[in-house]
Amino acid sequence: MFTKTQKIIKNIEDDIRGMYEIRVHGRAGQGAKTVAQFLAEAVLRSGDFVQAFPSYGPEREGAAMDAFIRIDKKPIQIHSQIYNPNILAIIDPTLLVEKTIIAGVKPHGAIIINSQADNPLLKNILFAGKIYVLDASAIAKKHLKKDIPNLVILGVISRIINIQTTIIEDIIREKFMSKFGSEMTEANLKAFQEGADIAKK
Amino acid sequence: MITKSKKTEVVFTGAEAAAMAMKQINPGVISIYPITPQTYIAENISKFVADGEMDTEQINVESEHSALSAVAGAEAAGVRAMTATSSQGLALMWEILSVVSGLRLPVVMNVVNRALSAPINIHADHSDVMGSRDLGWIQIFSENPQEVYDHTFLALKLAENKDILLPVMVCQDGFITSHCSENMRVLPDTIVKKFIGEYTPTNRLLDVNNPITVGPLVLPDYFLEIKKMQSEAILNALKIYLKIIKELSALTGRSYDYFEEYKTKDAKAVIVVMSSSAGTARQAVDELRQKGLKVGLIKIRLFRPFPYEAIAKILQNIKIIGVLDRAESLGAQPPLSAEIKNSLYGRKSMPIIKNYIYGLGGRDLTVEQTKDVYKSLLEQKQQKNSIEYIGLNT
Repeated sequence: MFTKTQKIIKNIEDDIRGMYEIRVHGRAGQGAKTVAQFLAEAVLRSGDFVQAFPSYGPEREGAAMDAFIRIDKKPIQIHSQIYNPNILAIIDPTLLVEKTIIAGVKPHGAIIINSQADNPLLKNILFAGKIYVLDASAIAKKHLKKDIPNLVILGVISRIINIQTTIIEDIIREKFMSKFGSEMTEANLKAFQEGADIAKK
Repeated sequence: MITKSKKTEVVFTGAEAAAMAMKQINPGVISIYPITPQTYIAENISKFVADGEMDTEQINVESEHSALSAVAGAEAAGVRAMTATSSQGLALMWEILSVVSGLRLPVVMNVVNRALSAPINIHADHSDVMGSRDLGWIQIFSENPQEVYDHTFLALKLAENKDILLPVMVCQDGFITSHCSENMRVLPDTIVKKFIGEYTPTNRLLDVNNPITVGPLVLPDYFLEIKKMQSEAILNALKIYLKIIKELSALTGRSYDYFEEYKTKDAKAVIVVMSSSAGTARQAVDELRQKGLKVGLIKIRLFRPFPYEAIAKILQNIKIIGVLDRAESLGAQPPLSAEIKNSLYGRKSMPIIKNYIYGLGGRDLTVEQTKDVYKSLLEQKQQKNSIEYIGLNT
């Protein structure tokens, strides 16, 4: 389950708290909060402790917002935002305009960016750790006919932290089947799996 | 008995935790005014009612003023009635807050603490609830979704106790708790039902065999006496609280003392704080203790009635105390700080007490900032009686 996450934590010397932290940047309506919630549910099922919360600016569609996830072997008591994440995910490429967006990512951590490879804003990213640039929007459009790239990004995150993808697939089925029907659920599962496969490579 | 079954462990936000507790209480009436600044509490309740998981009568009203009025009416008639609110909504309830406590109606209300306008802000802040602290409600503050859930049952038992009969607010921080999913445990419905018991109202309007008047005019000849009775009732709550938390702890395995005392025994510096920030401060204590610094924490759970004696017993032995308030009392001492000072007046030894304002309008409080507060307390850097603002950009 999360044994491998624990190994990642051990690899990061500067992580004095021994917890794993993820920060997701997106725009309201793109599903950053869903990423956090699905991860929270998956961590619960894996038997660990989790904290998942959004931070909104103005509460309206299209406004920049963040989602935060903490994972630990012991109960989590910190209630502040995340400044030094192990993983930083950027769901909307236009957010790269803000150069400070990647500030604080742990040097051995990972950055995931939804972007076309030729995006000039990628030059803003100076980072020594692992960077995943993928066109999650194109993948989402292929499967969902809509630009909702959150589950593709969730796929990448799941692989990096080594959570069992079947656990998340179960959650997607449970949450989406009654709401969106089997066709859309299958499409979302494919989007998730393609994200997971990209991270495997 | 501690429930260890996997099924009882869930990830809930503070809002979901409040709604789940309300669902299990299954009151006769819940009134809702679902508009910003509302929370998921109302949304979840509506779903439970629509899905037939509660048989509560949900009344959709036209304002928060009406939301509390409807609850007051239902309680006066003789049924359990609840609602939830936040920020401006609580402000609009003002008039009815003292009506509910003055009529001795045992209403339980979940309050998601957020800033008051202006400027417009929807984030965590205790200004809303602190403004209502003198309106006769018992006030309990929660650190996380688990406490929101547990405190809602505790609140109901307190409110309905025949020697108390007063309304209770169960407070949680806006967004930081209300929108944050965390692991927590839920109790089986049967255990909740047994703990809260059947509701047997006293002196209610619909008891036709014992007709009474509710809310009459009371002139100067009796008003003072009625207020004195109210005062005795809220002080009774201090004693009865201890009995109720013993019963609740036996069910959950968790503790609910007036305040949590964390590593204060040998501490040279102690922070006093409420709600979600207590967790952040506890983390700071853990990390500073690892480096050999003797620091501790008091997390206030029960704010009204305020447990002056119990607090003083601990704090009078501490050299230096920092009180962190998430609200200002403009032109006066911050609310929590003022109470801590009140509790220590006239004691044998008098600690140095320093005031900090933090987190207004959702400004984040980090472990590092809290550690800095401890360090500055230990160095006694700050001048006496000044108010320091944590994270203020100047």
